[in-house]
Amino acid sequence: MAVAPAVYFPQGFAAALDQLLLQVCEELQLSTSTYERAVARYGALNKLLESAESPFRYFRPDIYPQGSMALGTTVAPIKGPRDLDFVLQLSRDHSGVDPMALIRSLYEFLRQNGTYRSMTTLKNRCVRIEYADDFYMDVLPACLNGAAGGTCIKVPDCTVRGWRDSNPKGYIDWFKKRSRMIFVGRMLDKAAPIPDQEAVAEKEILQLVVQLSKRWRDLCYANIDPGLAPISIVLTTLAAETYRGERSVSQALTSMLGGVVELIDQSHRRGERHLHLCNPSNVAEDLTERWDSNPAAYGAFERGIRDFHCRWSQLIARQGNVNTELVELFGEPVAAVLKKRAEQRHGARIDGKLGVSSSGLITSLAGAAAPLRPHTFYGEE
Amino acid sequence: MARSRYVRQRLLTLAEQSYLLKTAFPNFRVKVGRRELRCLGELRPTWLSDNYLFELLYQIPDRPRVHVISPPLRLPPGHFRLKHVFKDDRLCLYTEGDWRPDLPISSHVVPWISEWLSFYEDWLVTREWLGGGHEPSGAE
Repeated sequence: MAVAPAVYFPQGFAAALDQLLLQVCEELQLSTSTYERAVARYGALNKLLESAESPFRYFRPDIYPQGSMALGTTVAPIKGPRDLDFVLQLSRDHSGVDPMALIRSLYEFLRQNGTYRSMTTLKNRCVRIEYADDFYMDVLPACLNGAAGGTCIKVPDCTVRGWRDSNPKGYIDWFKKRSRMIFVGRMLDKAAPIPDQEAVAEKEILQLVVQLSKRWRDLCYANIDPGLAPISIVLTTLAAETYRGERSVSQALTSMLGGVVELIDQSHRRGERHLHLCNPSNVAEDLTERWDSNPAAYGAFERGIRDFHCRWSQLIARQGNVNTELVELFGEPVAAVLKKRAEQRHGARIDGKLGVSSSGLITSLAGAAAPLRPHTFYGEE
Repeated sequence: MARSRYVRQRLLTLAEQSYLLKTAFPNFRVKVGRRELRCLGELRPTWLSDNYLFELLYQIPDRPRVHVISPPLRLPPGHFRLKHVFKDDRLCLYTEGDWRPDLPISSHVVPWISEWLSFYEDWLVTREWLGGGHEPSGAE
């Protein structure tokens, strides 16, 4: 649903900053058309996997989105296609299934298919299907984990040539519970975050905080070494763990950054080599295991978060023009939003709808100390 | 206020301009001398803006001269001149006819300063002046 480009005048620095950040998140969001294409494509893939020629047809294959698409926390990459993650879950317990045979059979089945042959590559835990346009799908084959119960699953891992624990559905439920500590409806005109559940796109504060922190991560580590960047599920889990139900996205981000720095400090005091996080819905899944073997990545994460915390605190304390600081943290979408807002403001002024308050704030005509009358800026080059 | 071809509008005196400025913007400091009005004021165009101190000097019937005093105006990378300013960095807020000496400065020129500042702040980031206007050479 498109939102009319009305000029809205929040009261106070925090409210104005929140409004800007919401618009930045809209810029980062998966577009409705991409979202619908993704849904159609995984539907088509599901049909193929259920078809008569599929080796998975007896195991009631079920494809469902996981990660950012399911959580409503997608973020446009700085460059290149988006990656969207899906689970191909078979209704069969993992015991008795060879994990390498499972992932290879998915890969080979798609490689034999005329449509998917040239688009399919094998990755460590998934089969990647690259489309010619703006995204690729990573499909993780999975079997049930009967011993753990619930929605816990096992996924093949080519590096260890064995199974890994996971629980994407349980994680989504946990994240939703965390984010709905305080529900704040927000109209978004660009995407519906979760399939068939919300007719009107709505966002919760926690989803926005995750989007912003992922965007910061993408920008920050692009200049250092993208291989050192913290993975999305770590940032998402930290954001959800430190969320205290703030109603303001800027305040929630302040809390998150302060909370994560505190968790890092606590980890240091315990003498740990790095902060430890597990999947809250399946404690067997260690989300920070890559830091075990890559202390440089943990060092980069710690420095990055401390720097983000410091810069964000300064930005909040500034209480003034923070456009440049916001661009440094979140990049081009901030400039895109400022441009749209300026164009809307210009249009509203031409329509005679604006005035200024006694402190100079540009505001609606009602209640203004003086109207903004027609005029033409002049000047020398 | 439509301007008649036949009735010459009475120019507003410095005292009248001062009164109107102080009424609309109580925090402005306005001094009226024998020939010149001097107004020092602060404007914050949006909540995500800086608070700008400006000076406005006015002699009947000249164009009011507006300078931003602080914070100092900046340039975005790759730009060497401010947009919509005269050579001495006075703000170019309007073209001929948008304001006349029979009109209040408070309800015309001052709101345009706020608007100029808002588009200036956007320009620093977007590098595009999004407030419209003309950019002639040899202005004024």
